[in-house]
Amino acid sequence: MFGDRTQKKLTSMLPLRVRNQMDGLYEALQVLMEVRDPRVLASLAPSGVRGLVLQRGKQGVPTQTRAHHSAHFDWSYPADNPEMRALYTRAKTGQWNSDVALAWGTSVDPYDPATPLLPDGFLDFDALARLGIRLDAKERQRLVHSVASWMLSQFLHGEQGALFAAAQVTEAVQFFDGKLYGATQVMDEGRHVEVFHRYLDTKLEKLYQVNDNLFVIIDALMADARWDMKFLGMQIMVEGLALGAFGTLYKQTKEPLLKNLLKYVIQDEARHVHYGVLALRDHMKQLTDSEKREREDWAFEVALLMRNRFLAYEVYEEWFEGVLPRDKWREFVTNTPGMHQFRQTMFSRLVPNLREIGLITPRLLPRYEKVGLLKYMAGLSADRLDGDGLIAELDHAA
Amino acid sequence: MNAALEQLGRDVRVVRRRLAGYSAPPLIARRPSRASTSAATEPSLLRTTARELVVERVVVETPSAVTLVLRREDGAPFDFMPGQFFTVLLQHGGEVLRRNYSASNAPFERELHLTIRNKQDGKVSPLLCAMRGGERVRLLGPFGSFVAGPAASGKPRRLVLVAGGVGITPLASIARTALACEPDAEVALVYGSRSAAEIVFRAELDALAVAHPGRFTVVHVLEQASPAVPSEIGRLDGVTTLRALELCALTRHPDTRFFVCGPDGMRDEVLAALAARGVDPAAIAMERFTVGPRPQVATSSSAIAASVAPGARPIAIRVNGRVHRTTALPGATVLEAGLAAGAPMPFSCAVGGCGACKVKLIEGRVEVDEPNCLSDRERAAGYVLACVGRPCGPCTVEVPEEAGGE
Ligand SMILES: Cc1cc2nc3c(=O)[nH]c(=O)nc-3n(C[C@H](O)[C@H](O)[C@H](O)COP(=O)(O)OP(=O)(O)OC[C@H]3O[C@@H](n4cnc5c(N)ncnc54)[C@H](O)[C@@H]3O)c2cc1C
Ligand code: FES
Ligand SMILES: [Fe+2]
Ligand SMILES: [Fe+2]
Repeated sequence: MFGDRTQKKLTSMLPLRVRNQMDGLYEALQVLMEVRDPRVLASLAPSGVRGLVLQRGKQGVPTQTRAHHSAHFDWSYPADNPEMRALYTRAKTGQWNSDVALAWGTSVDPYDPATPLLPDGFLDFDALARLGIRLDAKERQRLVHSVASWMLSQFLHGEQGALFAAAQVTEAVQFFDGKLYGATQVMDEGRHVEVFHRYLDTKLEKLYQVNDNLFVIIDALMADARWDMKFLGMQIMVEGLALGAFGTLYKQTKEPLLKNLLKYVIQDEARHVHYGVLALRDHMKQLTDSEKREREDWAFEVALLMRNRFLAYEVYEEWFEGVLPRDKWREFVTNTPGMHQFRQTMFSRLVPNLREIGLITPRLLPRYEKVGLLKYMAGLSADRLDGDGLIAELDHAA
Repeated sequence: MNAALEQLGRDVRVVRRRLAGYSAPPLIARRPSRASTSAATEPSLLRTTARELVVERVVVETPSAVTLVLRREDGAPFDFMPGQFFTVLLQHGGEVLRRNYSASNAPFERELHLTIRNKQDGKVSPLLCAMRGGERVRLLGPFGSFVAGPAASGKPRRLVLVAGGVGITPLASIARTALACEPDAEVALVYGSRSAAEIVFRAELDALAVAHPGRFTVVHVLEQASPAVPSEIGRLDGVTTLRALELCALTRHPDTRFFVCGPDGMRDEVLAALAARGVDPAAIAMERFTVGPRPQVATSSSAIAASVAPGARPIAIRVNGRVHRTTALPGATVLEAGLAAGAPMPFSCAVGGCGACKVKLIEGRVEVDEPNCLSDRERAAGYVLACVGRPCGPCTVEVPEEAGGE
């Protein structure tokens, strides 16, 4: 394959917009080449092609994905997991009605300096100016509006993934108490889709396409036949990261409706991640070494996919395509303070959970270390943290 | 198998498009949805504050129509749904004139195209048609519900568009967007013009047909035949419409939805023709461009004074047999008070230009800003516009049956 230098030389002769597309395709190739375990490559590559190359999520028509899991029936209805039973009870009383709980009558003005969606300094406009893009005060506000809408759009698309994954997991899981609990999660995710969509549609009035990397992860989960992979992917990785992201936004936003919306969603999500940890902790212990290694690698790759690739390219395409090379934007987004902090909190939620399930073994430590994720090991995992605790922690930090 | 082939076709198109250097549109064209039904009760600040835009360039489309190409200073796309319109505010003498213009391009294009026919004896359109690049326009919007909703559960959309004259504008936006964003959408356009020279977007429409073979058909109907443009001959009326529809296979498809926009007379004839073909009225959407005769009386200052005099105004609003009671603050419109109280009141332009918010005044006095689009007949029958009507004291209004929101 080409080295970085050759790639740059080859593409520098092309017009900017073609160069940008090449950058995207080359980036896709790199993602796949970084994967070391051939089994992980085999399970992620088809999704990688569908998402990163064919952009199936952006084709303008509903996407069909095929599921391969089997539904696990148990006609004896065993009480087989008291912790999950307790979670089910908690989930039943924790239901909320989105029409009543949230003040949808609130007028949201994304440009009102008294209630900014994102804090000042979230984007480093000086860095942008150094790239030759100087925005006036109005344009800055609009860019922040775009970035906030983009983030919430990705949350929304993630919630759609969570909705279907929760339904599949409810069919596939072996614990009957887990199935009852799962039914409440399906309801929760439906409500999350509803509230995020409603907020975007009626308040921010903007909806972005699904990010290619997020699509890859969702696609891989839908296609994988193994229930524990669905669990790992959805309950731990996507939900875990979402929980971190919601937390950051909750802490930072001054827009009251959004803040309240996130508060409710966070309480639900805390249960979801907790469930994932409960189900997987014991399961991982029963796997053969080789099976376990595959899951360890898979989790690492997906974490990387999410860490390095959540780069708001859709905002770039809307604003700066044709003005700024794509790799310059990547550099900007990676280093801009708000996004940087986002990644921090996301991983400070995720990594302890992976540790708790036993997926960060000494073998993997150097790789986590190398990509700078090891520092998050010390945090509390979801089974020690409930929704109220989380909110209290966030409020305290704010 | 068929589905797999279609998927393959889409995949190939994506790769070809990317190799040519084009990204997928970053934004999803928003469609009327669960949330937007409630959106009617949540007027958005983004829509009710005017913004000033620069005319980037002016494209002469025909001898009597131009397109103003507007840009936001930040270069970001405009957020409208294809089919929606904007309200242009124009300072003229001492008054602010408001006229609606439909977006004629696709929302992801980072520009807003307003295509305007010069009505020689009109007040606003001649001024807009005389604009030059660099001048500024003030706009409100987008507004309107003449938008193409999603197809039933993921089926490709099939649209038949019928345009008369400058009524092409919202339909051009719908067609461009559907063809660009939905690889499986099929669109047919029946388009009536006076002569070949008067066809707005003639070249663009030809180019669209070439770019989307098999997915886009245009049938022109011309009052004056022209060797350059194959067409049905005649005014776009019931007979020519039926003949033109005959040439569009889409007309016969059960999922097809119809969009009609043009002068009042033409619209009625087209509707009759569709009815004659047995098209379900629920599958037809229409847009009115005409706003009815325009009385030249400006709102008097004493009327304004009455409408803002201090004191609370209890209002009762009857909708679908239910009565919503609320109190309007001085200066507040009936619509603002009603929506705040959760009454499902219909509205569209919010500036007195479309008639969507018309309510019958049963009791009390309401000052309605002038000029507005109410016809003399409507006025005589006791109708007022909720969006620009301010109660002067206690009053009761009723939303007409056919207009009631759900
Ligand atoms: C939803 C919507 C979308 C629209 N989209 C477009 C578009 O995309 N492109 C476009 O060109 N137009 C569009 N229109 C029409 C546009 O808003 C204006 O009505 C049009 O441009 C004429 O405005 P004007 O000020 O030039 O004419 P006006 O001064 O409003 O006069 C219009 C006509 O009415 C006659 N008239 C004026 N006053 C009276 C009266 N008191 N009694 C009887 N007749 C009178 C005038 O002589 C003239 O012929 C749209 C309208 C609506 C409602
Ligand atoms: S909403 Fe259009 S006239 Fe009132
Ligand atoms: Fe969720
Ligand atoms: Fe969840």
